Amino acid sequence: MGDEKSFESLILGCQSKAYNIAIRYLKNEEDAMDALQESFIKIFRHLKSFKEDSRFDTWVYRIVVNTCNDILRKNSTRKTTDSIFRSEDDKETVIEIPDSSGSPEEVFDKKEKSEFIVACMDKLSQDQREIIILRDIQGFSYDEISEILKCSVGTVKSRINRSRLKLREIMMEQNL
Amino acid sequence: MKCNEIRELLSLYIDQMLDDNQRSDVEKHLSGCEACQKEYDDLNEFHLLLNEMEPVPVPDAFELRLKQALKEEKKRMNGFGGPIRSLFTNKQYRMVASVAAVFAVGILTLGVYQDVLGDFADKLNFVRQDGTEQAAPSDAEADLYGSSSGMDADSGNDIKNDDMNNKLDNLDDQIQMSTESNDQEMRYQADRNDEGSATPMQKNAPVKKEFAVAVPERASGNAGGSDSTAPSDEAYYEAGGAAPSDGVDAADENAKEKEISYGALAQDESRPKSKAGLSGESCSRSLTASSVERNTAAVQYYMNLIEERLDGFDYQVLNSGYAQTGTWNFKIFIFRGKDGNTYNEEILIIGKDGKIEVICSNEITGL
Repeated sequence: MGDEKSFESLILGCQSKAYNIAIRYLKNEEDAMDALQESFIKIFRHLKSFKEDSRFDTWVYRIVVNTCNDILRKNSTRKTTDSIFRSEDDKETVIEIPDSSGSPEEVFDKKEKSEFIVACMDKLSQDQREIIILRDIQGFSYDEISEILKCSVGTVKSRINRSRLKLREIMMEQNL
Repeated sequence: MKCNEIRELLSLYIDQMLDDNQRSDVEKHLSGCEACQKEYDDLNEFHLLLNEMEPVPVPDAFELRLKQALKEEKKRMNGFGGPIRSLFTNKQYRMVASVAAVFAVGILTLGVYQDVLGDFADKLNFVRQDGTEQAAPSDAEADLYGSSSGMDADSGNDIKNDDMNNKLDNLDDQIQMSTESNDQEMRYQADRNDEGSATPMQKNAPVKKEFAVAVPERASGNAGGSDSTAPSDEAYYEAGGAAPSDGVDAADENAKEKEISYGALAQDESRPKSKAGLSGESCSRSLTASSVERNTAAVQYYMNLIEERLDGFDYQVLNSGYAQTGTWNFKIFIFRGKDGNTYNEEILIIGKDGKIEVICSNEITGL
């Protein structure tokens, strides 16, 4: 413990996914980097307390998720993010989604649809949004999500289903 | 299965989390229910869309930020609170730190409160008492030294305490400093020992302390001894028992006078100077042994006899010593005899019962 370089190489495998969790949670690059840095420092500090019987990566993602939730709680007292149709100068909700698959029209269509879904996700509660990020965007398995969120797989199942149904409902409302 | 039941299973169906029976039930229902099929299509579509979203690359700046942050964290961990903090979890550390902070504030408050109440004066008294208590052992120490040296002077007991020796050495320094102003200073060593190798007796012999005192009239004709081994006209001192060259000659006929006390030579002019150089009570007690003081006249008397005997000699009185047996010993260095021959010999003159006796290992003309 304590060697920064070996820690950096250890954390490198989780870095991209951790950053993407953070940017989906916090929706802007600067906050995401702050959250990631804070999370990694926490991990560096408490590396000794990591239990080897659990998976290192899920432990890292749990810390990232908790850190993001802390930041969101703090931010919620300062600003309200209740509208999915923000003013044009509020660019932070728009995340560039690179996609190289399909024809240009298809790419544009997919990209537009994805952005729309992501925008609709803002209407979900944080719990619902969180589970969509972890399952649909990041592709974590039910077991992994139960590890990250420290809840049962049954809870994960019902939460995923409810969140998706809710998101669809929101999308349908927005399409009208 | 009803639509509500199917809706509960749609996500699990999409994520392939259903067993074969459930999956076939869902598929059967979906093929016959347009609304549920539409719902499934919508859910599956956005699931796929979200899942296909390309990951956002980590900004390049992050690597540098993390490096810097880790470096600072490492420094913090190694610095103040690091090792202590590592013993506790975050919550425990906060608790321990809080308790420590409360104690610290409490102690500070108590201190301020007492000061405001005027307890400060009491505290000063306390400090003074402390000072007295601290001083007390030093006094006792001084008394101890004083009495032991007094005993030494009176009964010739050994002084083996290193501290005491150091103390006496310091006093010697002071005395020497007080006499250095005099151009014609010489040393009288109250050590009766002849030159010779140190014998075991040396260790058992009483500690010999000596003073360097100014005897202007004695040095007047003797200054400028060319022999490097001869004492110079510059005052010096040596600890009689400690100097390797100061051995006790067991064969010395005065070996019985092992217990010798040492003191300043009875040179009226210099004695006050020596005394002035003493800084404390214990110093005067330890160095100006009463027996020596009482014999001042005797020393003067013997010195006069020695002067008469050594008239015409080029010599220097090195030191003197008084033995409890009533004997005075004078160690004298003869540079030249009255015949003009160079001797560079050390002789011993013993003064007893008003007479002096010269003891020298080699014959010196005229003695």
